[in-house]
Amino acid sequence: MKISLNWIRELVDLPTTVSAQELGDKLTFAGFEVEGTEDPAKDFAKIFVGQILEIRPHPNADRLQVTKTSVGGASGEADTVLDIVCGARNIQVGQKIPVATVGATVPAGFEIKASKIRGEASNGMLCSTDELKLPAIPGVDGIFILPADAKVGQPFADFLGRNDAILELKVTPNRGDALSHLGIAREVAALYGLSVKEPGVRSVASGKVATHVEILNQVGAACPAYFGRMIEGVKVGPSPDWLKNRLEAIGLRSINSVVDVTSLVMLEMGQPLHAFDAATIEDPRGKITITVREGKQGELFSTISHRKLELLGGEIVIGAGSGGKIAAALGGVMGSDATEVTDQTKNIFLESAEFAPALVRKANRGHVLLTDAAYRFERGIDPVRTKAALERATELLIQVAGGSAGPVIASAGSEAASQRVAAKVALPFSSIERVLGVAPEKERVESIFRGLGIGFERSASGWSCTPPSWRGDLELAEDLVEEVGRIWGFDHLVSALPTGIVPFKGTGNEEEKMLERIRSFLAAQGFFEAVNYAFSSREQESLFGEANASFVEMQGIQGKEFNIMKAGLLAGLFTNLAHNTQRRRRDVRLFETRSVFHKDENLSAAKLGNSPKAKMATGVREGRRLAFVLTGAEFDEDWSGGEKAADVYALKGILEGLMDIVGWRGLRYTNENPPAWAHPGQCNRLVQGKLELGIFGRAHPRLEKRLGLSAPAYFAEIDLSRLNFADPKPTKFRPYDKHLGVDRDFSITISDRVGAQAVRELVLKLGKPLAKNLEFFDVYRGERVPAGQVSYAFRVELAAEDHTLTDAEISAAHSQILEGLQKELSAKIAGLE
Amino acid sequence: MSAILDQLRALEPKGLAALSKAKSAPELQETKSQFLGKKGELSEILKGLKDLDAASRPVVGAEANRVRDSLEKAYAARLQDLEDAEISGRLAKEGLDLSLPGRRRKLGAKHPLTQVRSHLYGIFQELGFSIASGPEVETEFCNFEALNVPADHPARDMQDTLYCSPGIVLRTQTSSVQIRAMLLQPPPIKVVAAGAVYRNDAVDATHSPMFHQMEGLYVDKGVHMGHLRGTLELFARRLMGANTKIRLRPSFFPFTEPSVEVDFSCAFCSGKGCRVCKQSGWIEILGAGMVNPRVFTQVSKAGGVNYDSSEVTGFAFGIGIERVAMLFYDINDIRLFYENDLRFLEQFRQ
Repeated sequence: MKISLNWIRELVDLPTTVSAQELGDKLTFAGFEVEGTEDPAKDFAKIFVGQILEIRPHPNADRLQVTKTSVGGASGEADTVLDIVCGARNIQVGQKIPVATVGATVPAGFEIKASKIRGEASNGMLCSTDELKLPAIPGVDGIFILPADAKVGQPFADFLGRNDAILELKVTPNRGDALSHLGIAREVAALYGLSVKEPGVRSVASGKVATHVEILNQVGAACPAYFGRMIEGVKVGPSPDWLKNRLEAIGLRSINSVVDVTSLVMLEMGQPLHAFDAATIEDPRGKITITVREGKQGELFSTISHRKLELLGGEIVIGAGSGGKIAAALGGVMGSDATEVTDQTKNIFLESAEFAPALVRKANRGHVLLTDAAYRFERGIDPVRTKAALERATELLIQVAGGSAGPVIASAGSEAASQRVAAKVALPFSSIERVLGVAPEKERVESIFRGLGIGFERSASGWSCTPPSWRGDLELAEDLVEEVGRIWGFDHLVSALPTGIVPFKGTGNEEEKMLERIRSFLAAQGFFEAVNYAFSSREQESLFGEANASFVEMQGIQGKEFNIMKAGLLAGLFTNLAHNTQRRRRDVRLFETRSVFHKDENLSAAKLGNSPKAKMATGVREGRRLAFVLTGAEFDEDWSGGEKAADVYALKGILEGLMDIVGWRGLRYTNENPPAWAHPGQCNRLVQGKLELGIFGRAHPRLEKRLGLSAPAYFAEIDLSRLNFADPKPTKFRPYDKHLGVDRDFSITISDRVGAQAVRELVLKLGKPLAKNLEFFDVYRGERVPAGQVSYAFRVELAAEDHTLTDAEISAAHSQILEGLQKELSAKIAGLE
Repeated sequence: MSAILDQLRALEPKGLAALSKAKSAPELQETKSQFLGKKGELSEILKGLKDLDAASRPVVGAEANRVRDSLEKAYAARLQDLEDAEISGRLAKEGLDLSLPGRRRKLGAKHPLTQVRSHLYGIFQELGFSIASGPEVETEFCNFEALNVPADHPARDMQDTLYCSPGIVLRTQTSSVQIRAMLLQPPPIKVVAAGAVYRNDAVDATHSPMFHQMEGLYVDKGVHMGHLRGTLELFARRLMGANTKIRLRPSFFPFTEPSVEVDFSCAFCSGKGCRVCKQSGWIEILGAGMVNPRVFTQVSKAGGVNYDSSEVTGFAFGIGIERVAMLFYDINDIRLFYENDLRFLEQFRQ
């Protein structure tokens, strides 16, 4: 909200030495952050009204003259006379002119320095409109000649009337009372220990009016008070300068004298007012009946800006005519175009009312009207000033537009509502220290209360406080403690450091530790961590086979095509991969870990009924995943040559390393149902029992092409939500074999459909109990084996825990394995044929 | 006797000269045999020993041993020299240019936001905070109502909310985790929680529809605002340097009372005023306050736990992780965090 410093000064006797900057700082530290300051007087600092006392030609320059110019007491002395060299020809002795003194930076942007011009001292500058960035005066070339009655020594900003500083304050939503100059003046008064000079409110005597007014309230507490009155015989026209200037200073546009007065009173006292053209709301017999009623769903309303609205139902409508049929205004928000005050308006019906914040908000936000009036009603107005604001506006209206006022008419209960007193709040002495850790003296607390208009009675144990009518936000002791802290200053707090661990039931510490290990591992493998938006588009995610039905929908984001939450991480990472390869990066390794989102009816509030958990139920399963993608070389290119492209085994090796870190054992790799976007021959799912834990492989060449990749891309995604941090299984040491084992090599040729995993499992089973481990050291497909067959060479480690193996034991195990392989896989054994 | 002694004395220089001339280990071995072997010259000379009298034998024997030792030592020394020469010759050929780069895979890196978050977690874990978490798709109850932001309250305008469905939002602040943590555990509680939050903001250099926050909550008997100040002061010093000061400006958050914005003295200019702090000497870093008793009431009403505001007090704070990262790394465009361009990411290896 923009605040005029001159206006504030009318409401509180702030010492003139207090600058806009200083007041802004003070307000900032009282909770009203200054978001901007306009101080036009600053542009004219050190520029004064001066008078030319003497002019003589410059001895060394034909086109220059040397003046003696008085700037009165401007420089702090009784009368300062400056030598100033001037090049303009339009000056004469006795003229008043703007003088920029040494140290001034004129609006045109240069600094005035004491200097010598062709040997003559010059301690200032006589200014033209150009140098002051003021509009040129037609026909005048040269120095800006001021009227003869200009006061020598007056700061030039004051002469121009540009001496008002404007502060743009951020008023937090709890401080509806501060959305006016009166409200800010109260804060200023509290901060400087001054008192507020309330705007003069006089009851305007009822004159002669013809129109009879009746006000009916059908909405009860939604409109606690409604005051109105007729003002007849007005002449609506442009506002006088003082009114126009006041509004324009804080960035408002002047509309007409009537509307401007209602704006002024709102900006002054915080009470929104509305003026209707009486002719548009009176019945044929010349009577006005205002009916405050609920809007009907589908009812039409045409706003002042001629927007046609269909009401949602439940808005507060200011109805006129019989039964309030004519929707003259949306209460607290905006009037209708048909009832607007125009230059032709003769009689006015002026409204000052209180409307319930939630209902005003509903209409204001529901129809996206966002008016200044609604902004204030939503945040709560001062009920006690509703009628006073009407009186104040009436007086000003008659002053600027003439006419005579009728009596103040009110709906039933308005008088009582406007005299209501806030509930008392008990503030034990101890409660200040309890919250702040320290407390000011009781007398200081009480002076803060007085400054803020908080009534209080001190008892032996504390205060009983009565918040002022404008502070609806003060309900609890803590609310009052905040006021004390805010005005006293939080710099009084004494720091203390609460160390010590408080145990927590969650497993966040353990989870974070694990994630850090995973991230460090992947970073060591050359992967960079990506952070992508958690939302995406249905189209994008569908490309990666995520099940449409379980997408969590979201409201779109301005200017973006997002409509769902991500169900997986690979779409994002592949996009990042393409982004980087398009920027000529051949080797790209990226990973990401975050939650993904799936609809799950079992987690919805409906399923959980009335349990406390229902309040936390979102119907969405959020589980952490980890995904990584890579393309390019397995190792960095180097000078020794032999660069090798990464393949799916490079990726799988990294995946196996990860499995070691997370401690997942007994995993099976299955090539069933490869997703459409993956290479069908180079993609496996990770399965543990019946749980699918992840997927890895190579992207389908079609996807690689679509992403514009010239080399294969590999991916893996695993479901980290399966990690169990609540019940960790710590590693247990098992004594290792003290007796050295032996290695036996095997070379077999079998059908290519069996797979290494099955061979490994079978051999370890056949070799029980001596076979401890199996490592493949060669795999061959090609001319030397029949089509559809593969040859594996592998090494089996044989050992026993309690003794060194005898030759007999070793050959028994060896033949057991060979026979089994022949029998179960029809394996051909190298060396046996 | 003297003849044998003369022979022995003549053998020594002859042997030493021959050993020193050997050019290789085999040649040296052969030379050694020539003098000291079973059929070597020394043995030949000593054959004459049997003809000597008993008194002369020890004298000759001692001289023979001396000569043998002398030749053995010379042999060993020469052998060492030959080996040394051979190794240095070989090593000279094996010399490599170690100024060529090593063979490796370049390191990747954690995302700068992760690094900042870990740094913050570390600071608060040292102070006894545990890590809590909550979902990003959140109920209006946890995101608003329990945090004292009723429906139709203007405080909802402070953030432009993204909805998933009626009653379900993308959390606008990590403060929702305060509610979940309190519903999980009665007081005392001391947690931090970081994660993504969402606002319906148009994207520009300083706005993103998704960004990250870290929330802190400490509730116990006797917690007061001095504790909040002390905790944040330590945090400021750990983050921005030992001379960092903080100041608290009154503000408003529905879930804290009193509420403050917390500024850190600008670490870039030591408070003198610079581009980063917009000449003010201070940088707005976070929001904080004492937990509003209305929040305790809401949590206790939801069931399961009792947060009695006459018994316990607490403080809470919320930090923008992007904000800290942008200051920390001098990043001027928030969009860089989500572009995942390697030219950005690879600057954060350290």
